[in-house]
Amino acid sequence: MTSIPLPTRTLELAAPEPRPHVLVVDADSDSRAVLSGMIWPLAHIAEAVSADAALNLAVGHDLAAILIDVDLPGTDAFALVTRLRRHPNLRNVPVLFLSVTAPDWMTERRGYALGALGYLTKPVDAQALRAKLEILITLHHRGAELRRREAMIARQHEEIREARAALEEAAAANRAKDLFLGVLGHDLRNPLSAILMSARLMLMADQLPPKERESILRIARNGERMAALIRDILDYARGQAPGGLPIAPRAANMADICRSMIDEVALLHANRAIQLETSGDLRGEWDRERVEQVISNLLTNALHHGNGNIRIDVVGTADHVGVSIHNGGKPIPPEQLPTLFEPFRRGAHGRSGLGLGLYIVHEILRAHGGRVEVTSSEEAGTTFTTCWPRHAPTRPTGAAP
Amino acid sequence: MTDANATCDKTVLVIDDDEDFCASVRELLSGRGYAVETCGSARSALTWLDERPEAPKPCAIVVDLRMPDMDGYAFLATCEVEPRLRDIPVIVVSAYGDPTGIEADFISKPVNVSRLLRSIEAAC
Repeated sequence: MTSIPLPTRTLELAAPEPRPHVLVVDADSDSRAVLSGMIWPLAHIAEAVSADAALNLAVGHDLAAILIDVDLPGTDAFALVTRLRRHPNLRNVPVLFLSVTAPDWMTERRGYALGALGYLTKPVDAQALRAKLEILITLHHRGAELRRREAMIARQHEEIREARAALEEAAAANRAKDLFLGVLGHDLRNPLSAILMSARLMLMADQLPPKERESILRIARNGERMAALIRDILDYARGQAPGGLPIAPRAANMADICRSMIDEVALLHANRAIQLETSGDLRGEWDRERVEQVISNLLTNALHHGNGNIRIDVVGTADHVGVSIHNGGKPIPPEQLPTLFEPFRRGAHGRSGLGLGLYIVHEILRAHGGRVEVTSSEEAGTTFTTCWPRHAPTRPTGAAP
Repeated sequence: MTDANATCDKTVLVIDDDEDFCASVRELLSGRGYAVETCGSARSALTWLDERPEAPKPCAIVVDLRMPDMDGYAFLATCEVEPRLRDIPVIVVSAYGDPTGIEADFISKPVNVSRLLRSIEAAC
């Protein structure tokens, strides 16, 4: 956000109480000297001998007051005030008239009509002049302070306006991003879907010579990796929105979900045995797609990072269904365990991927009101345990009508 | 486009503008005793159904969400009010992985083939 530079004038005044000027307009040099002697402890003095000199000086100075001798030779003091008042900076500068004789009723009225504060008769009483000037200088400082605050408020308003505009811009960018991701996801997934389904159908038909079967397996496995990456990216983007990942829970059976995921994975990893153990009531209400995603992510991890057989235990308790996925092999380094479920953490294996898989597992469990834990050691192997409340919370937003 | 297999008594209607997807489902199901009818849009599916009021109803409908002419959402809305369609199980298949607002069985693309098969077997 760009900050608005303050007007120079306001900056000047922002310094601690700078001495303002008092303009003395008097043709008589002795008179000016006397007045200056009275004023200098309170303010800087600018002296002018004529109306033109006064106008020139007045514009260039920060004036707390103007003292004008009404008997300026060849000049109407009232006309000078009128000319001064035309200048925007001088419209409100207090004016005091000086005169040798007390002004008559008419003259006094003319002066007040022009906004003059009053008349001082010469010789000027020092105390009376200083008392008036002190008040005028205090008012001048307060005026400056007010202008400074007004400028600050104006600047803050401008900042608020800019912040609001930036927010709106960000919201629009976010909508555009969602649309982009949606279209991207859709347009990448459709062709990928055709590739994967065709590969799977060939594998399921089981009539391929071994060499061809290996090629098709490679196509399918790598297609699955691409599909998982696209899904992780889209889910990561969606999960960043307020409210996290949306879920649509409905009746499902955890054993069915695990069986169909094992069928999918086993087809591509025929050399690895996946054992399924179930016990208890395994029915509940979950977002089936999301549960499948969790099982798929954890199974794929177990296949890539572990060795030997994989065991899946599905256990129903009173109000939860637990799914744990166990594999042997090299354990996860202990220092990685605390941050394992954070986004963009790639395991020690440095394999391909964005490091989003476990983060999304965590987010899906969170959306279901459940949790995921991991234990890993040389002796016991690695076990990811997911705990699903039997009835996932349905949020009022994003719920089916 | 119905499979010329007279022994099939179970018909699955597949509605998707992606011809490759339709072909894959046909290949998946035709070897397993199903007849498969495919349509490129919800409108052509409704026309197909209208043209054979006497024929047995499909035992399941697989429908995509984003299609030209008449999309999956409109088809789902029609199913709710159309007596002939109301009782047919619908399986929604979409590359937009967001089932928000959809009551029917939802499978995202790329499709888990065994899951799709199980859903169809459960319906028919």
